[in-house]
Amino acid sequence: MLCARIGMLKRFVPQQKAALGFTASRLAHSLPDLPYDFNALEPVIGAEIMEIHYKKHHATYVNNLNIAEEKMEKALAEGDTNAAISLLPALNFNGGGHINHSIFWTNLSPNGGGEPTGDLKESINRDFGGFESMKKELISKTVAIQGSGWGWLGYNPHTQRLRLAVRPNQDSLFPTLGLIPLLGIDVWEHAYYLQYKNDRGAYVNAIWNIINWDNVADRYANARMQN
Amino acid sequence: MAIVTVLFCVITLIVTPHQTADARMYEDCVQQREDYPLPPLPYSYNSLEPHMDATTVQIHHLKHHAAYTKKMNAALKQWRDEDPENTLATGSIVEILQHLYNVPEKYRTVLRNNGGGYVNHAIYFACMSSRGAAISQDLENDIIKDFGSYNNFTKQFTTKAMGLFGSGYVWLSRGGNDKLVISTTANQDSPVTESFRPILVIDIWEHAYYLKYQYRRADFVAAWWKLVDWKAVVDLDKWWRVNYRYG
Repeated sequence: MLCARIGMLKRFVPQQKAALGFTASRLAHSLPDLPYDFNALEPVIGAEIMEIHYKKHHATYVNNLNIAEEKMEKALAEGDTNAAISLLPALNFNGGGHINHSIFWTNLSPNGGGEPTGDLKESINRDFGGFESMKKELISKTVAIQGSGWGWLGYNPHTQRLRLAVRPNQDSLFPTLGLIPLLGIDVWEHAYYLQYKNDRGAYVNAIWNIINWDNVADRYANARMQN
Repeated sequence: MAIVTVLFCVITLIVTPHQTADARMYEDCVQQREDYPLPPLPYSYNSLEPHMDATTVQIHHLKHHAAYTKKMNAALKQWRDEDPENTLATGSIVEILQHLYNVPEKYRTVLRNNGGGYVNHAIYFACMSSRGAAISQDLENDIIKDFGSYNNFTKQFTTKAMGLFGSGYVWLSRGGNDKLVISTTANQDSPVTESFRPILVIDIWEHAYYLKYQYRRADFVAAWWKLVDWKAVVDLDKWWRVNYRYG
């Protein structure tokens, strides 16, 4: 199930904020359900990593995003531009973190692996000269990221082409590079360190065994309908 | 005569290693070296237990720090081979980081990341030990002068460490007029590039703490404070005064 944004469930925030003189009409973000058990992606990604990654790291992005958005609402309501500006990094980190991880969980599956088929396959052939070529380049770019970040297969809606990109930290792909994210590979150390230690290359190579190409294909189909 | 010469050379080779047991990890940073060796830790891998686990210290040193050292050396060699007359290229890694924006674009990123990684980790490991040495009066006076109190300093430093997003470091450095300043750098950026003389640092990259602490960064930072070796920090502070070349 994909909507134009991403699978973010929203809860209505009760109106206890009336004391501040404005109504909390914004919906709070929450963790999306994980489509599989924590141990489902073994042996590629172990249960311990999955549980901490989802219940601690992703959950923290969600909580801090909600906090930042509340503060932003207040700053905007009070016309405090400096306060609003100073909240942008927190929105960037935590908003990006929530978006990125929400996509990531759907990009993986215990039944994943193999290669894409159909339109996605043809477009990959067209834009990269073949699946192996795209895979090699994405692995190379992603492993080479300095510090924390993500490797992406994305779609440029203006040129109607697939593109590879990397982003630092939790920078969100679409607002910064104009590419609709289809497949992301998280290379923050928390994504692999407990299992792979410093061997990021082993992790980035192994993850191809659990890529959910149906999900990537769905995202691609949706992306092409937008403009 | 030939035998004396040969003996002299052999003795010279034996008695002048790159690093004596007493040399501090960062001392090579200001030396011109064709090939920087990975500096050994001044303690065993398990000596920082229980605050920092032996596996983390070992991987951090032998894998991460070693990889930065190796890649830095490769980049330096390539640059020097390509441009043997370039005086910056033949300088020390600290000089190169100080003048990073004069490094040709082709080598700038690789030296920023790997030269930075080499120096940053040398300082990080050098400023820790299991002995918990007390702070010297001079340094404590300077901390009080610049932060109001020692507690203010540790609180500000910790806040920065907790708030740092992504990979990076939190530093205590001497800046202009020898003022003590807390600053952060992203990834392997070095405060030396901004003309600071760093005397204490915490590594906030996840690899520094994830095996033992996972997402619990606060616990790691608290444990790190227990490992800070103020004697080493004072030594480093004094060392910069002798070894830092301005301009």
